[in-house]
Amino acid sequence: MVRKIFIILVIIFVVIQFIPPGRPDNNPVKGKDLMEVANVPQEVASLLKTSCYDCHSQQITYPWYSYVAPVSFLVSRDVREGRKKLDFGHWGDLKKRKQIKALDEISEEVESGEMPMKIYPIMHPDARLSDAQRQQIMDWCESYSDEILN
Amino acid sequence: MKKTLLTIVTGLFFAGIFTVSSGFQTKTTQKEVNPPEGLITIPDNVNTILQNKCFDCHNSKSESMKAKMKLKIDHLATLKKKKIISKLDNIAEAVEEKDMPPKKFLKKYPEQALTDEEAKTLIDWANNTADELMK
Repeated sequence: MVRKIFIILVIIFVVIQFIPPGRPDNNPVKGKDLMEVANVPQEVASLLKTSCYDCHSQQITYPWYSYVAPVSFLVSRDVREGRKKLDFGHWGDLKKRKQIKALDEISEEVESGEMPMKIYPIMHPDARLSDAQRQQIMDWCESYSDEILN
Repeated sequence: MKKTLLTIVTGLFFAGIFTVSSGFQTKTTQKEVNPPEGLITIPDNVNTILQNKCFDCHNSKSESMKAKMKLKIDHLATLKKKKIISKLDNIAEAVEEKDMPPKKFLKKYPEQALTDEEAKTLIDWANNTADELMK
């Protein structure tokens, strides 16, 4: 009985490998990425790159396990939805008003701990933000949006 | 003994009245959406729509944590400029894309749906005010 279940699971596992996960490609556009558009302080830039850019950009690095179903489905979905909400790779295409909103929401999400998503730092421990790092990002959001407004 | 009892009962009675009336009072101040120190003044026609169709969830005493976190109509005007812009942009977007009022909620309370005209009034107001603040 246990053997049967195991075999069925293995078959399912093998079969789902053939379902295309629809993994989003990287399509960086020169001059549009946040880092090219704005003068982001070094430390904040590195926080954003480590903790956000793996979903919210056009510079996504897919780890090996993101090629294995069913994880591939989850990763693909997270990237798709992440980019829909915020894509630093197309920051330069956003109107100033949308940038202000994005910064406000980044600050809120980072402050409340909604972002980075809880599941992410499990596999990417570097991406875990300390309170001080969260504050750093929030301060940057504040000063950058002041800069945009003035 | 009887006298003390009477005093207590009268006391409780007045305390009750006081609580009820102050309860009413907080309800009215809660609906005050245009504090004098605010950056924006919500026009009456918009205010009416917000009060009737949005306020029940989006107020600072709301039971819905999620709705409260996203938008507190009674606090909107007191926020910092960039916050107001952000909130207004979200209002315009949420109404435009019919994300708000939530579909689930409308199934239960269909009369809370925005008419096309109300939606347009809200969207135009939110967009124009946000653009005005960007200047």
